Formats: sequence, C-alpha cells, structure tokens
Amino acid sequence: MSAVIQARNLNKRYRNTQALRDVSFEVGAGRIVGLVGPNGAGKTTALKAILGLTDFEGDLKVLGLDPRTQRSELMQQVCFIADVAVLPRWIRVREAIDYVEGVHPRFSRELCMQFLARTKLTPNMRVREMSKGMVVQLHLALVMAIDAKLLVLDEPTLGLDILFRKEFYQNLLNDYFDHEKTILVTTHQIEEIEHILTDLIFIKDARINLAASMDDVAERFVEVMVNPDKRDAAIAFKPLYERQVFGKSIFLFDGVKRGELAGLGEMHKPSVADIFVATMRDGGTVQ
Amino acid sequence: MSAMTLDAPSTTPSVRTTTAAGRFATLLRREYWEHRGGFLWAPIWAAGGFFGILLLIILAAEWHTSGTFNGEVHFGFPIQKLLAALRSQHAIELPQILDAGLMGLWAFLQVVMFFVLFFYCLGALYDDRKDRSVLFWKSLPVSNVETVLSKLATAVVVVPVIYFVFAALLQLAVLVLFSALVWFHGDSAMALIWGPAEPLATWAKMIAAIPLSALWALPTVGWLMFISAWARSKPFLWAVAVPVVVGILVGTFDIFEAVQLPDSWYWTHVGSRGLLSIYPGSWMFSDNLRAVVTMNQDGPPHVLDWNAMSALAGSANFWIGAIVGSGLLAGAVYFRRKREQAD
Repeated sequence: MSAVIQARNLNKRYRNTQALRDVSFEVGAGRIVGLVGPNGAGKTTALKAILGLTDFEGDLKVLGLDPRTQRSELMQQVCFIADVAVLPRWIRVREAIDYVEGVHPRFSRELCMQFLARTKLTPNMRVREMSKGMVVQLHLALVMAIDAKLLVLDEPTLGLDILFRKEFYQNLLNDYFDHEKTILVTTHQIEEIEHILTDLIFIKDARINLAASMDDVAERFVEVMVNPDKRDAAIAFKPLYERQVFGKSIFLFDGVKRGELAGLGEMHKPSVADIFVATMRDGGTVQ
Repeated sequence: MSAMTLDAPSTTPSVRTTTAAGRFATLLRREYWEHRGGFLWAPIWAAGGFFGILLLIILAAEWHTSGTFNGEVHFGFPIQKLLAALRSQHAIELPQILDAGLMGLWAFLQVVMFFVLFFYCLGALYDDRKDRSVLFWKSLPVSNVETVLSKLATAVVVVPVIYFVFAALLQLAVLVLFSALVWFHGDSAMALIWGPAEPLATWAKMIAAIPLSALWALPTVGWLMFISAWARSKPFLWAVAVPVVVGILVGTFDIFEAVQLPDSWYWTHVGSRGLLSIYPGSWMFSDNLRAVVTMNQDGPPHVLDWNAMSALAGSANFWIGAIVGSGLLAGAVYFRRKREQAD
C-alpha cells in the first residue's frame, strides 16, 4: 500500500521566518495522525502545503498528486476542516448543501441530511446566525457526507466547549472513519484525542521532532516516579525531563529498557502531553 | 478536466459524476446567493423607486391641475405642456423622443449596475481571503480557473442580463403610465405612445449591447479582479490609486509628449478603460467613436446607436482592451493560486 502523504525535504520561508525546514514524513492509509507542535512551529504551514494552499520547495505527493499544480483534482479525495471561522458567514444551510453537491462528485446529500437531522440546524439558517458549535456541526455534516480518502483537520474544535469537542471526535470515529480513510489532525487539546491516534508527529521550530506510531511511543517512553535517594541513579540513565511532585521526582525516559529502570521506582505510561512538554523544552530533542 | 472516472471504494458505490457545465452553473448560483442584494434587490429598488417617484409626481401634478390652478402648473410636472408638446411634434420626431426616453431609463439602471459591478469585481477574489472562507472554497474540487471564470461570467453576463430584464420592465411600466396619462387627458395613447414608440427595437439594441459591453468591460473587470486577487489589503485604494498616480506622473513629466501623444490619451485609453469601462456606453468617451455617433445621428445622439455599436466592434481600442483585460484575468488566476489570506 503506497503512502497517502509522502513529503521529502519540504522547505518554506515566509518573509522573516522559516516555517518548514527539511521536513520529511510519510503517512500510510488508514492511519489517524496527530500533528502536534507549539504555535508558530509550522503545523498549519505543513497542512497548507498538503492542501495546495501554499507554495513550498521540496517533493510532496498526496494520493499521488502534486498539491501545487493539481489542487482541484486532489480535493475530490481530500477534505479539510479548519477552525470554525471558515464557512462564509452569508451562506445558508441549504445553499451550502446545494453548493457542495454541485461541485463534489463524492458528496451524498442523503448522508448529509442524516447528520443534520441530529442537530438543531434548519435549512434556512445562515452561518452568521449560528453559534460556533452549530457552525462546526454544519461543516462536519458536509465533510462527513463526502467519501474522501484523506481528511485534514486544523484545530477543528478551537473555541468550542467540551461537549461539542467530545461529540465532534465521537461522530468522526463512529460515523466516518474506516480503514480506507486517513485522518491528519492538529490540535492543542492533545489529551482529548490521544486515545484515537495511531501515529504522532511532533513539529518544533519548523522541523520534525518525533514521528512514530502510538505503539512505538508506548514502547519507547516511560515515566518513573523516583524517591530522592535514587535520583542520582535515575539521572545516570539520561532522562528527557524531570519534574517534582510531592517531594518525588518524575523522570521521563526515552528508549531505556524497562528492566533497567525497574529498581528506581513506580513506572507509568506517560501521556502524549507529558512527552510533548518534555520534548518542546529548549534543547529538548528526541531522536 | 471533465467528468471524473475515479475508482470508487467498494464501500460506497454512490459516486456521482459532476460535469464541468454542472459545476459552473453551481458556481454561478453561489455568486448570486452571496450578492443577491446587488444583483436582484438593487435593480428592484432602483426601478421600483424611480417608478414610484414618477407616479407620485404625476399624481401630485394631476391633483393640482384639476384643482384651483387649473392647468397652470408652475412647479413639479408640467403635464399640459408635455401633452401639448407631444401633440405638436412631427410624427418623425416622436419615435426619437420616446426612444431617447426609454434609453434614459436603461442608462439610469446601468448606473446602479456600474456601482454594483465595480465593488463586486473588487471584492470577488479578496473578500473570501479576508474572512478566511477561502479555506472552505479551496477545500472543494474547483480549480482557480473555474473560480475566476465564474466570477467573470457573473460580472459580464449574468448581472447585465438581470439588469436588462429590470430595465425592460421599467420601460414598459413607464410607457403604460404615460399611456394612462395621455388617455386620461383625452388623447389617443395609440397615436402618441404605442404607435411611435419602438420598445422592441430598443430592446434589440439593449440585448446587442450586452456582448459588446462584456468585451468592452474586460479591461476594467480584469484590472479590478487582478487587484482583488493580488492585494494583501485595501484593494479599493490600489485599484484607484495606481491608475490615478500614473496619470498624474504622466501629466507632470510629459512622458507621452516624447511619443507625441497628448496627456489626455492616457486618461481616455488607459485610466478610464481600466476603471470605468464596466459602464455600457462608456465607449462614447472614446474620441473616434464619439465622432461616429454624432455624425450618424439626426436626432439626439445616444450610445446604443447601431452605427456606433458596429464602429465600436471594429475599433482597435475595443479589441486591444479585451486582450489586455484577458491578460489581467490570467494574472488574477495566477494570484488566486499563489496568494494566501488577506490581512
């Protein structure tokens, strides 16, 4: 199975900043990939490159197409939801449905109506009259009714309250995702989606800092809670990160065998957020 | 890029085909939905408002003439004088006067259309970058060429056709109103209005003017859409300031004298073509055509004279402008792909 996204040495410069620096990665079919990084690290630029919304240097193939020159062909197979503000404010629900049906061969009006029936949206409602949550419901209904191979989500739940955020990902998993589809998602609320991800990509300062499957991540990273008397022994194993809780030290290790750490203290599976924080510190690096 | 023949995954056999024509029709509907105010309500209000005011003026005048003033109206609408004038006109002149009147109604609605189209073109490729909805539009399988062409077709075909319909309705309504007025005063509406008036001939000219105006408008539409796709901010300022500043420089430094052209050449052939040509009939301001129109006219000259229109279609100014406009539209497509969001 060939990769859905194949990026090699992507570079992108804005006037004063380097947004992507030799970025290379691959995403296979049927994966749910979280693209994580601090603000300004290059996440959105990477997504824009994949969607053909920005120019860049380097080789990039998405579903075998070059997004720079084949955007409209690509968009028959790729869907995109950015944060809530991108649906035009003047459009009505029925107009949005008519429009997408008119231009997209893989859109199913029937499916879209099914999704909308669960919401309070009515055909004549305009986007400008909707709450943020309702706008997202509309956008999600439109996108889930498209049988695409790749779905790109850029902070899709930004500014939504927790109920909508939960519902968003639940709908996506239950009604949309199957093993022929691929999802690439960026978010700040990484703890809310880490359980649905199959792969993780960290971006820091325009570079890829970590790219691994969740299985690998679970294998490589371990957290150990260490009493003060064993702190020096723990540091000898070169931990990535140390934080203090109730007088104990919690160390994060990358790639150290569990057996060697067993004597130091209680071992935990670190959350993605913990790994993220550890690797995003100044000088913090994984590979 | 025509119909699609993509392999559908086995789970979903429901892939429809969209044709280029079907997609294009959807894009045109999209433009109409967004700009219903300027495309539909503006001509309705303008035509309705004009007719309403005319009706009120006539009613007011009737009320006064039938009252104590008895025919001696010194203000408002001079009905008796108008009727007397109509009766005394030679049969040859009446059609020309009525034709000029109908053209006046058309020209009035075209002024409304000018402002609607000017700001439509200027915002066509800018507004969605400003409110970020470009991210939604570009997430759908529509190419940049299709997007720009749909906006062009809206500006030079869809909107002019809509305005033609409302102009014709307004002309008809005014003819009916004057017929009632004439009849009310005991004259024959047939003799004074419907006999001499030639609304069908007028409409034929108005229809012929649509494709002609479309080509004539290309440099302006092209310039405004180019700026609309290119500007990171303040498209209006760019669109207007660039031609004006260039014109001032031309005048100040006598640049054109070197090639033995008067400074006014810049304004008639570049400045006004880039900003004002979406007004149908603005070809009157082009020197050589003005001569044609006045030479061939016995009665009051107007822009939709057949001679003037055929002279226009044969002029270099017309075709060079269309070519330059097409080039600017190609530039608009290029920047539609290249530019990201506006500030």
